[in-house]
Amino acid sequence: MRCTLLKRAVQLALLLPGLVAGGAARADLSGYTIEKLAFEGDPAPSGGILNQMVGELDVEAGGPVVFVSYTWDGISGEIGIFGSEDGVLATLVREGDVAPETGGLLFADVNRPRIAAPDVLGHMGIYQDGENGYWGGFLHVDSTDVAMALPGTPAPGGGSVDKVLYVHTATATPAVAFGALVDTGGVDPIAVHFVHEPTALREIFRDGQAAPAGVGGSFSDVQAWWVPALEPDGTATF
Amino acid sequence: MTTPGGGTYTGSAQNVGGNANGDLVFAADVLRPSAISAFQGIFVLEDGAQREVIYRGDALPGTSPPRLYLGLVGSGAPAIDAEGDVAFAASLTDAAENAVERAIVVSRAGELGVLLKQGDAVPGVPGDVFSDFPEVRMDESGRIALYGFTTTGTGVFLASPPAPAVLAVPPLGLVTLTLAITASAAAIRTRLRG
Repeated sequence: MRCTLLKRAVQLALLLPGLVAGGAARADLSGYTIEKLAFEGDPAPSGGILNQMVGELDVEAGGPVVFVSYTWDGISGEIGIFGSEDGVLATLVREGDVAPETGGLLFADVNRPRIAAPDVLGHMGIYQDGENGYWGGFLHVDSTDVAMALPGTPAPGGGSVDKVLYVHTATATPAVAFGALVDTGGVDPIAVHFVHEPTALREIFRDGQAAPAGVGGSFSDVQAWWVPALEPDGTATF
Repeated sequence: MTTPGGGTYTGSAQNVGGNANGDLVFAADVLRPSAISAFQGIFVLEDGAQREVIYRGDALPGTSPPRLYLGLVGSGAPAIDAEGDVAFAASLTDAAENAVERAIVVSRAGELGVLLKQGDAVPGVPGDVFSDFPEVRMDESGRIALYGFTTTGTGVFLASPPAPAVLAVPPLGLVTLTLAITASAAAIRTRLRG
């Protein structure tokens, strides 16, 4: 049924070109240059090779590209966040590094890097305490590493953080938007979107929250992977 | 709420991209007038005005054989730079919906183009070709960082728009005129740098 409807829509679009918006003019993209920054098998800055890349990356205005990759030294592998700028590849944070504000626990996983000038890197990380793994959000600013939210961090709208799942956007302010599951005492944790700012952790919106006046109702089925936009002045839009 | 084409948004915009100017780009399902089903489109909200970038079934200019926009790849958000240009990873189909391929689509100065597509040669990896583009990000200057799946592995790539050409004006000697030149007259942007 869905397939049939799509075909009908396509056929209609072809028959009635006036309904097709934005399709007439062709952008000239011939002047773009495309370069390889890193590829599986390339040497890793910390030794070994880049082994398997994970689908997360970001680019800073006029600055580096950050991305996530596993490395392999012939015996063991680890995951890390790397930065590439002007042909130089650097390790920014990796598995085995100390997770900030966790009492010296080590990262077992790092992911979701978001970068902003100058020297602002937000990311999520799983740190390990024996058999237990904890999902937190972390921020590197001017050589200082802090935790944005860890399991147990109080949420301004009630409850406490269970897991930080996604880091969405970073600004130079520095402010970082991220999505997390929050334990409110119910059967299941709920999805909440936050902004971490230098002086406060604030919420953008959460599952079950009343919608703004004029819209009515409440937010439902909110997912932590939804991506809100975060502007330099801290305004978040979703 | 009504779209620029007179359609109606039928769902929320789950993934929103923004630039430093406060402009937003988002994907949303829209029911067009006289249509019986809602399909995905990508829209820009800038200075309080909406602009449609692309809608399911739109033709991608310059593609041969012709390709139509099917939707975003995965859960990735489209990206927007300071000029309002937009980039996103898209699934494309032919008119009969027989073939689907992945591509990086760019809307530049309001015009659409395919920057990279499945089967294109991989720079820096001789003999390899792209097979998918699971993640795309763009900075304020329009540089596009992307993950590329290829037939031999995965890599990180950076696509940079044409560098501005700096033209000195010797007789005056006071002003350096920086012209960002593209082949499209509509895309020419002029900046003055003191």
